[in-house]
Amino acid sequence: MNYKYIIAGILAIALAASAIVTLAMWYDTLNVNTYVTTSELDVEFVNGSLTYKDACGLEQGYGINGGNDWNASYLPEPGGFQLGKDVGCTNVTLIDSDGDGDLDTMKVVLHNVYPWYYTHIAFKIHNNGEIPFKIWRLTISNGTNSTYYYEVNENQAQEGVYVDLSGDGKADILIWWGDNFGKQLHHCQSVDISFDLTVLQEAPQNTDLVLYIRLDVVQWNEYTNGPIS
Amino acid sequence: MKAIGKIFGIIMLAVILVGFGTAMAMWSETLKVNVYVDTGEVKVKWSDWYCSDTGPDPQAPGFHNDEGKDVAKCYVNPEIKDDENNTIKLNVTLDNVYPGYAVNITMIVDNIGTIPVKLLNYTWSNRSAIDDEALDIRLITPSDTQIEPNENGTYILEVIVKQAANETTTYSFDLELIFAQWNEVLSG
Repeated sequence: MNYKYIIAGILAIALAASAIVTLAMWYDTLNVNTYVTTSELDVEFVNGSLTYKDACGLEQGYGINGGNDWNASYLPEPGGFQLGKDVGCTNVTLIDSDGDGDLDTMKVVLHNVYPWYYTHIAFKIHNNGEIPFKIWRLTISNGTNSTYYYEVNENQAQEGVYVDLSGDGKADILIWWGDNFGKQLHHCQSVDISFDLTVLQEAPQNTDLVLYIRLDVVQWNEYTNGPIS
Repeated sequence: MKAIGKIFGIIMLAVILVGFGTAMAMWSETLKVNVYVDTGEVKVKWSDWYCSDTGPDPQAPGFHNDEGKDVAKCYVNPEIKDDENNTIKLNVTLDNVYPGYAVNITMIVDNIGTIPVKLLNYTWSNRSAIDDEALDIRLITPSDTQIEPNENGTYILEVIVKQAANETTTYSFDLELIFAQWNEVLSG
């Protein structure tokens, strides 16, 4: 037993001695302090830039400020022809869906519309962040189900995309979206975007057609024409 | 008897005095050694520093900057100098960074002492799990960390911003490198 205490004592002394030697080692120190501040990727619909044909509430009449309906007379080409009647109308609002102060979602409601009813919606988006971004993805939703598009119209002659809003498996509307995918915006830049919207034969009767549109952008150094893994 | 004792004492004293005198008169010579020990000095400084982001932002693998955009900024500046005006602390500031931004900060260590030094160790402080979630941080050291007097070594601080980084957030961390005399550092 005594030997154990002696050995333990010797080891303790040896450890203490080595610690003293370590502490006594000559040395010099250099330091680096690093601060990394991240940026912000931010996009918004520009408030006040939104315009669209046949807004609800317009007095009956011709022209962009008239309430007469428009007809998709030129399909598969984009554009419409204004009719002599005011039957349906379009209402578009911009929503701040995540409460960050930026308008990020567009809600489109078509009232009392019918097959071949046509409208055109135009707006601007703005890079209010610090990082250049590219328009990457268009999300069209009926409020429940969402469909993602990375490319809608490569050429003007193509009709666009058929969207089933009612969920009955039949396309209710046709959207012709100008090809802005991959369009790059730097800090503070904005761009005009517009799309045509045509009601199709299979649309349900006696129903307000509601769709939500969201544009997703990605920082320029991650952009790819399709899903990002 | 008392008289005999006194006489004997006087005789002994005389003998001692004669012996001492003989010793003092011995021929002798002396050699001396004066020793002066000048100690060396273990001393290092940051002598140069630069960033790999000098224009178009460098990118991590999987990201691209073919257009040569210059979005983020990298600054390296001396923060603390010693009383001999040697830089001993650097400040690295990466501003307006984003996922995929990858930068190397090259830092040169000069041995301005008189003794070869080696990197004893380096430690991170003020570095949290949050920082590691947002950033890949690595110090690239030379394969041989020994620096002879008047020579230098190159150290690279690599920072990559990961996808999990939060927007408009500042991450900070500190790095300390300790250099010791070469003969007390086991390897490296």
